[in-house]
Formats: sequence, C-alpha cells, structure tokens
Amino acid sequence: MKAYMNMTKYITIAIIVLSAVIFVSGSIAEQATQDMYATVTVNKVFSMVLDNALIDFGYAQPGDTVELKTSTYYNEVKCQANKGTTWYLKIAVMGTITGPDGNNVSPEIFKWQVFDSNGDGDPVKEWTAFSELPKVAYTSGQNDMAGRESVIKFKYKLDLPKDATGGNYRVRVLYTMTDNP
Amino acid sequence: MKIKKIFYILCVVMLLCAGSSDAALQMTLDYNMIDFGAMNTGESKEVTIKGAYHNQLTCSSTNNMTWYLKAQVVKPFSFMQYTIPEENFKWTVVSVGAGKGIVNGGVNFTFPFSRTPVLIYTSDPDDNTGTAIDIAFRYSLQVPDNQVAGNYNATVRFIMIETL
Repeated sequence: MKAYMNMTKYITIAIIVLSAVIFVSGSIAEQATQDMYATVTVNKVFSMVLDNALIDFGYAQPGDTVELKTSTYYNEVKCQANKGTTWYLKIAVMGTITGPDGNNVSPEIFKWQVFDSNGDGDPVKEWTAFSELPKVAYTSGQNDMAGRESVIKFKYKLDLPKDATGGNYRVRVLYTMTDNP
Repeated sequence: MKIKKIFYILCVVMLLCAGSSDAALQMTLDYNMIDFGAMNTGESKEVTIKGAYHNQLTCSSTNNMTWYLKAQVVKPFSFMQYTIPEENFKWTVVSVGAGKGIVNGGVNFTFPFSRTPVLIYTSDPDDNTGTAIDIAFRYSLQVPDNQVAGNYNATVRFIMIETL
C-alpha cells in the first residue's frame, strides 16, 4: 500500500515537472538572430575656392584712403575640410606693391579684414596690414573642421602715403588654407 | 528505492529531451558584410554585389506560429567619436522567394535602419510549416555633407521572432 502511495506521489511530481518544462519552453518566445557588418571610408576633403582674384583700387591720389565696396565685402573664400582637426586661412602679399613707373611701396599700406563668415570659427574682423609673412585671417571651429563649407568674406583698403606717387597700384595676394597655425 | 530511481531517471530523460529538441526557428545569412568602399561627403551609394541584390536571409519555421523578421542597428557607423546617422543607412527588400507573407511597406520599398528593431516581414501561415523563405536585400548609404573623414564600421542585427 505504501509502495503504491509512493509511486503515485512520484508520478504526480513527474507530471508536474513535465508540465513545467513544457510550459516554460512554450512561454519563452523563440528567436533567431544574425549579425551583419558594414564599412565605409569617408574621403578627406581639404579645398579652397576664391571667387574674385583681382583686387583693383583704380587710380589713387597721394594721401587717399581707398576702400573697396565700403558697405559690403569685396571677395570671398570658400573653405571645406573634414579632417576633424583645426585649420587656418592665412593671407599675405606676394612681393611688393607696384605702383606707377615701377615705384614700390610698403605692403603695410594695403589692409584687409574679414567682413563676415558663416562658420563657427574665429575671424579677424579688425583692419590688418598685409605683410609678406602669411597672417591668420580665420581659425576653424568644430563645424568647420567636420566638413561644412565655410565662406569667409574679405574687405580691402589702401592707405596711400602723402609722399607716394598717384596712380594705379597692383599687388598679388596669396590665400593659404593650412593645418599649421 | 527502485521507484525513486526510476523517477529520477525519468526526470533526467525529460529534461534532456526538452533541451535537445531542434530549434524550430532557423535563419541563415548568405553574406554578412557590406562594404560601401570609399565615399565622398554628400555622396549616396547602393550596394548589390549579386546583381539585383546584395545578400539573402533564409528563414524557416516549423512552429505553425506567425513569425516576424526585424532589423536593428546595434552599432551605427562609427569612427572615433564621430557617427553617421542611422537614418542615412537604408535597406530594401528585393524579393521574398517562396514567402507568402507581408513585406513591411512592400517589395522595393526603402526603409531607414533604426537603433530599435523595425519590422521587415510578417510570415503567412504557409510560411510556418518548414518552407525556406529567401528574403533578398540591397542596401544604401548617404554620407552627410558634414562628415569627418575616416573608416566607419556598423553592425546590423536581424531578428526572427514570434512576438511582434
């Protein structure tokens, strides 16, 4: 009788265990997964475009200050870089400023300033005398170095000394976009 | 004592049977790489290395239950601290072979990947009896205009599951 009771007890437990196993395996949602891997190489960009390379002050009299387009900018430089590092736009004169009859004047009478920029960098907005040594006109910001096109607009003026000869003055300007400060 | 032994043996056998039963949901991927190669900022590219499609998932179920295929980006395109937004990375179901279920949005509809699982395919009752359903995909990527240069890597997970 006792053996029969034990057997009944064990069979009951076995049924409960089996039911639990079936219930648990049925209630856990089955799923299968597969992973896939993707790669892309984003190319580097480091470019600069100048819209107007001719800076012509026309005829200047001794003692004149000639400012091109007084209420707006004269030309613009479009810079684009996505290296993720700071870049600089520099500006300099190449050689001397040549006037009438081959008269040369100091490059310091020729000045520039950044009129405006659309970037998040640091523009030099004060009148700054040119030199043959490139000077930083714009230092890029975080967005500028992530591939966004930055447009930097320039103004120029010429302060012709009283002892200079009146006439047309020419100069070659060098714009440089560089990683080096 | 004998009854006790038989009981223990029975329990072990039941557990082994439950554990060793074949998985009823099966999924294989014929090619698990997408290489978009070199791209310029602002450029879009579609990859289909096998002509009309890029790779193919084969799904089968013998559970007689509706199953769902989903996809999610588990790691977006990343390089150092920079990422390409996952919505710029898209999939298109090109064909479903013998499948009679429903493609989310329809065949040739393009969906952006997401960090949360997005439904791709819902099985038909005919798909739930062991038929192999070959779901072919193509993929596209658009590099944003403002994206730092570098080698970006992403991981996508396909999930076949019986709950929506």
